[in-house]
Amino acid sequence: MAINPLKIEMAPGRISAGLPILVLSGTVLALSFSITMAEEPAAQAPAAGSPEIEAGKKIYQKWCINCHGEEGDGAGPAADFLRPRPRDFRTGLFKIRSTVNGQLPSDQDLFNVITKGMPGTGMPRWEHALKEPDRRQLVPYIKTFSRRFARTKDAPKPVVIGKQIASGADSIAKGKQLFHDMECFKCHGDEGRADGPSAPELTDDWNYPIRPANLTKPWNFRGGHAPNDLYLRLQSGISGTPMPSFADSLDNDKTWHLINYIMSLWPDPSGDVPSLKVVLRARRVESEIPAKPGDPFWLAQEAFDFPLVGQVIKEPRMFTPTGNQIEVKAVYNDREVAFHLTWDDPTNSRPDSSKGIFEDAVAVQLPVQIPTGTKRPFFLMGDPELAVQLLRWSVGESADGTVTEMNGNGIARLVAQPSTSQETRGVGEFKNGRYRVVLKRPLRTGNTAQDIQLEPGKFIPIAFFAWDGSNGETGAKMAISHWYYFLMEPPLAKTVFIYPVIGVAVAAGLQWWMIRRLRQRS
Amino acid sequence: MKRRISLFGYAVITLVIVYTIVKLVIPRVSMWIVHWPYPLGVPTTLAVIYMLLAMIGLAIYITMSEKNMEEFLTPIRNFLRGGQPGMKGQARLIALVLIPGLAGWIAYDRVAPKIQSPTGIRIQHPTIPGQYEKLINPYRDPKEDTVKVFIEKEGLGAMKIEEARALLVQKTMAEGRGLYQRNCRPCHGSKADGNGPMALGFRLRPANFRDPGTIPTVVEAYVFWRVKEGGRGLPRESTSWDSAMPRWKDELTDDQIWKIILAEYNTADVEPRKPEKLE
Repeated sequence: MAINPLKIEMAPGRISAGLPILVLSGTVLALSFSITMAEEPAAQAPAAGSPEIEAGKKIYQKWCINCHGEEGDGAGPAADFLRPRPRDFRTGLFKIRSTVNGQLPSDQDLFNVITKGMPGTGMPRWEHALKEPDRRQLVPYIKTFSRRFARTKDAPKPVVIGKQIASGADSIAKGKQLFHDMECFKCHGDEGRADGPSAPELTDDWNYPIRPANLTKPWNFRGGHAPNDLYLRLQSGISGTPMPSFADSLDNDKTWHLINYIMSLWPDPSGDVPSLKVVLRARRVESEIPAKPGDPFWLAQEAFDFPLVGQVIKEPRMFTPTGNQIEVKAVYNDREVAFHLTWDDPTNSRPDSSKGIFEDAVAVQLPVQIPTGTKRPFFLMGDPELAVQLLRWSVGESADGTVTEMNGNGIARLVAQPSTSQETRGVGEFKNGRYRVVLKRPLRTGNTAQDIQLEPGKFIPIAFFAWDGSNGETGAKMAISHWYYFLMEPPLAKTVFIYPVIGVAVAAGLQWWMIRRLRQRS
Repeated sequence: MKRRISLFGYAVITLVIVYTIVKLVIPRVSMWIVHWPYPLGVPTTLAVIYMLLAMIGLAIYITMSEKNMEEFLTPIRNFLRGGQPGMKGQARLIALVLIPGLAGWIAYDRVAPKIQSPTGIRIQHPTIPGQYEKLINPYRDPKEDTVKVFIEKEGLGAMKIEEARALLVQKTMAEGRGLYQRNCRPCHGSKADGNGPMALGFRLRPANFRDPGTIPTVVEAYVFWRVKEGGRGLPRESTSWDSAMPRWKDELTDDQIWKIILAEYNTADVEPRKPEKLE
């Protein structure tokens, strides 16, 4: 694939942002342009220094340089904290295009990305922060970073989106076959969770590691998740990444079948991010709670999704964690409580110090004491004053994984409980880029100093953590959630059923009495 | 003159119109008046008052004369008495079943336990500690001596003081922007709108600096205190245990923090509050 020679020349010589850059950049740019122009006189080259370019440059230097860099090389001061990395504009390769394979993006494509941002990346929506003329003004300036725009005389040819084929069992089955035949699974995984065999080795055109899209989380698709967006990505490819164009192998019908299959993998047809609930409710059951995460019992339980983000509060920080969401189900009976945790992770990582791989793990955090007022432990593993308890499951040595009860008085003060007080049991399994773990613990224990004593009807703070060992996540480097609430639903009081019955009776009685009186009168 | 719609019908239509105005028209108009991208709803208590006023007005009109009262009650009597043919009769039966059902549902709604997580009061702007109160951002309007040192250091020679000062501010602003984007962007966002990639993970949302209720309403010294001491430096009434704000004094110098603050206001397109002159 094309690697820009400019990159090799410029990368080592990059100067840190500062005054010299501010003063010189104009000259440097003007210079590089005059060279470009001298080499290949192109009809449509935007003139450096023209008011149009200068206006765009001003906006670019205020809002864009800290990620995309003064020179448009995608190496601004914040670039190292981002994955995927900010785009290097000098190659003229842009991910989100509506134009045929190999061609430049249209001006509108660039404008759309600025306006809507790129979900799941550091590129925000500029829609409200920058007015439309300002966003339009950026486009010609961004185009000055690559010679390809100046060289190309003809307007790029748009992909023609053919007649959409409605989804249905037949179309989805055809799409599934295509998903296999086109070898989509090699990167995106058998069930679309970005866990294909090639996924760990993928790099972009700049040799940075890159991850395939998790097709079950469409709200993170970089170019949007409307059916037409998917059509364009399949037909025009995603430039600069290993995602190729399938224009040669997929005709209109096949493209739609494949889209229909991809959409069938989504948790919700809208493709929107699952709505956030603040309270994790546990239903009371009278039976034994199944220990295996694959037991059909768990399919019937209500699921609650909680967002996970990088631990960016204390060093060492994790800016690019794998985990971005965890699904939790909880039930309890007269003796114990059980949490069923599901999260996506492309690899089943076991510790390997030679490769810098740590073990995958997950943890449920609860306060040791149920708070009585508003005060509760610091949400990131407690504070010196108030302790938290962690129920931590890790891949470990055995087939089911290892469970450890820990106590925390801060992220650096985390201690495993003595073996005599380890009462949580857990079973985990990994399949097709997804972990499922069941953790079970008695409601009440003998170790009241270190273990939370669970009570139905109380709102108990709860938080979740996840570690992807293949992503360098260990210790404080992890994905975290904030405090949510855990509520074990108490059995319903009888009055809940009596009052509505009385209400119906009174209303019906009044109605009957009025009708009778009216009829008697007439 | 015989009206096509009875007075009862008019009463119902009036209430529907008033409800539509309260719930839809007023919020729409508010968007147009205050130029916000989202509507301002009418508070529930106020909505109840508007509806009550409408009902009182209707009641006065209806009870003004025997004729009006009679006209209003006739459809209700006819409905209760029954005997309507065909479809109308069936609709009546359905309504007669629905009304007690509604009563039962309201009763259930009142007594059924609601999942409502505990809410606490949080003081958003606790009092700034004394030692921070009088601090001034040295980079916002650098002193002449500082500018002279800058001229010398950068070899700007004969450049005028004012020109050099502007250049110095521009330079610190660029540094501050870099620091902001590295350290603050993950939560507070590239645009300082409190919407960085990590923001959705925290239920105590990172502050939106474009919101007039955040940094524009405080002096820069206040922001300096908040950045330096972080969430841990908050008093109890400001729920320090929920704040994801790091204690930046562990990692950034005072100089860096002031530069960040300069850039932070600029990124958010807002101005800091001017310190009040005290005797």
